[in-house]
Amino acid sequence: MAASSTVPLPTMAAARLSGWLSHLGISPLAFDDTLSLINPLLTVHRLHARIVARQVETGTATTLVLQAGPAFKGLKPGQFVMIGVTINGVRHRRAYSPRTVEGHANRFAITVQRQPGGLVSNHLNEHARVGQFIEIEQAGGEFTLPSPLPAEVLLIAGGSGITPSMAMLEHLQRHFSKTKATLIYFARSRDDRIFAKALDKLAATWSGFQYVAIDSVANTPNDGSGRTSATTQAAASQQVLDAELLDRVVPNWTKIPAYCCGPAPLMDAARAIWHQAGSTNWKNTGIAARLHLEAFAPAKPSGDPHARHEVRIVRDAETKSFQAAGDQTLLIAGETAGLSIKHGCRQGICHECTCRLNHGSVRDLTSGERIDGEGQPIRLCVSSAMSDLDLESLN
Amino acid sequence: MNTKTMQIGPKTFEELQAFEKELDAIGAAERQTLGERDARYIKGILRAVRILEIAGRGLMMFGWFPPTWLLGTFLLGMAKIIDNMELGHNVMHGQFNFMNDPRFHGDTFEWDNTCPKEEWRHSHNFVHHTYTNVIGKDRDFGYGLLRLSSDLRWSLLHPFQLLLTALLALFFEWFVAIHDMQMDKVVIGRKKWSDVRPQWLLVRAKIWKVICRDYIGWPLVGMAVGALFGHAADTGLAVLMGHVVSNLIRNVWAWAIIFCGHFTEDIYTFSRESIEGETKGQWYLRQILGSSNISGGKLLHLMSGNLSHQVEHHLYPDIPANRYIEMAPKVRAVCAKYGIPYNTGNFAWQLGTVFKRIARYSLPGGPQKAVHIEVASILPERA
Repeated sequence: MAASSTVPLPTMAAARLSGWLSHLGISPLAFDDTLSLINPLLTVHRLHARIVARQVETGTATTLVLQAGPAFKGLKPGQFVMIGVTINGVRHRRAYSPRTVEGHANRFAITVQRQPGGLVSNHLNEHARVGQFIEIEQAGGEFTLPSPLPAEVLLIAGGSGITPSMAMLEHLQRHFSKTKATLIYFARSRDDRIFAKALDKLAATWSGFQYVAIDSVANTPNDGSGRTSATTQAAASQQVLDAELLDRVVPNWTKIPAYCCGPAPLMDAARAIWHQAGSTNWKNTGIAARLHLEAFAPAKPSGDPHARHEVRIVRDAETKSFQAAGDQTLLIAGETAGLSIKHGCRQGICHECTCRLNHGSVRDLTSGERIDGEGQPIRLCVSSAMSDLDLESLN
Repeated sequence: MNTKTMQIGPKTFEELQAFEKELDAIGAAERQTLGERDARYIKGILRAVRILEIAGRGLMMFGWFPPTWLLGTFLLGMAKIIDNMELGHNVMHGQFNFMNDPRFHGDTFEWDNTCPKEEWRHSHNFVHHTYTNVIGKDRDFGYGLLRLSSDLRWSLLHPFQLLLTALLALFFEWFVAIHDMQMDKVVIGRKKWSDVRPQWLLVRAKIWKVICRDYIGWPLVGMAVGALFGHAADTGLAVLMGHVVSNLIRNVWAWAIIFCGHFTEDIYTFSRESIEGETKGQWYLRQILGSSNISGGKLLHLMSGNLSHQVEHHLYPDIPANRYIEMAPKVRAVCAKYGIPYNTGNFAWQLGTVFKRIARYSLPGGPQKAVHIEVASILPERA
């Protein structure tokens, strides 16, 4: 990909040296700490980025331009980068979908939408300043454009789920403007639409781009942010994503790759539509496989809030137990019970909280599947209990 | 059973409960305010260790030139002390787990010591902190080597235990490394070598790492630097000796601090039976009676890893050590209220009483025996 960069020789040498030193009891973390005494961007394992610019997008979203160090291996449009920030002494990690910034190696921008009650998103909106360093990780994720590029793609976004789509669109326009792209973008109103101006400009200058902006509150139930007042509620439509809309906008939607990122109701709708299309059209199998989904918010279980399940976690010789309600993730339940549980992203990405499920059943909230314990690894942050559980910590 | 039954501190069951609640409250108040301040503190400690290491090893590269060699060795010794005590010991207790930072996570932190982190977490965090000063349970009491109370039968080995103590002090990290293998039990045939072997493989791997780094790797770097000036062998040897001496500095200091924590004159030991059905309040009481503090300034607290607040550390092993200094007056007030002895003294005094204890019990007999602390109203018939 054009956006990825190669790691320079001194950085590769440093990484190799650190590998040798780790055999001498000098841990990669210690190696990085020593390097970061000179400059945090020089680290080779625990990467850092410097905030080089900050721009307010909407009343509730801010874009931060980050300069990563030479060890950053670049990113493909649509991938996410884990960002680590320290708030009141505690390190929190979240995934964001960055857009590459042209003209500088390893520079990218993330747009942070305030989440109601969200610790990291509000902190970044209020306290992130140019010149600060934040922790990052190498880019990851499979939500990327296929190679070779198809002639046409469909992107569906809801709310701040626009960020990976925006990265893909900018990439296509810059380097592959012959590709036809359609974006269906749901938001509560134009004021809530991140990149509203940039998208208008993109639509005006790029002939292959079809931009369908839909003001709708259907996918974003009033979540207590206080921003969906009675008037906007009345004015906004209840337009949902359905096959009829798709037929009208992109008649050949079953034949091209589709990318959907947004709130859970939107993703559920997309999943159902593609599944339906795949099962009724026996000639064209594999339709459902053309849909790519990316969740971007912490999972919300919808299990029985009154059920209380007994959870035991064994780690080394130590056993911790707590009670989990059916509508809580195991991580939240454990933390509510006062335990400090090793975790990372809190949204099923980093596997820091992975435990082996030896007994009992959980619901995996990313896939909606039920997992019956036979020693499978499960992630506490995206699992809710369906019975009493026996867990074994793997980290 | 030849256990001495005593009554110290809370006199009634209600008093014991009140005592427990007061200590719980001191801990809970501190836990609520954990955050930024503690994170900044431990990050500063880590930075200090890294800078001292670089400075110490850098100065050693000048070879035998006395001012640089002495200062370099001293600085590396300080780095190792802070790494092991204020950083390693406290981080490995999980005191800074709340930060969710891999550099300060108790399960993954590895220190500059021959003892593998897994072995330490078991022998120290679990065995020593749960069974503090319980004879036959807490293996840190005498390290299966020394006779420090009349609970242990006197043998012909014990007259030499002052000498043995000197060896223990000098090579402390090596003794700690094999501590959890319980070699004394293997020697007398109560444990099989095949049971210990998996632990030994872990220890051997860690020891090899330390040897490679301190006694082979850095001396080779020293030789390479020295070769530029035509003193390869000399500089290499100077760097090697610098590492040897800095490790000895750390060993002796760590030994002294740890012995002052539990083996001073007035600490109590406990019988196995005394901890059966122990309540949290009784556990608190045992921790206070089995530990002793060292009074002193900020530098002493830092260099001892805040084990100068051994009492507070044993009451709240997972609260960040930088908080102990603020908790100490509150704990002390609770002790005064319930008439519990709070053992503290300056370093020289405490160390003096340690030597006195070691010397006394190198001879047969001795006054101090394991006790069974009772609260009058629970067991009136034995009071």
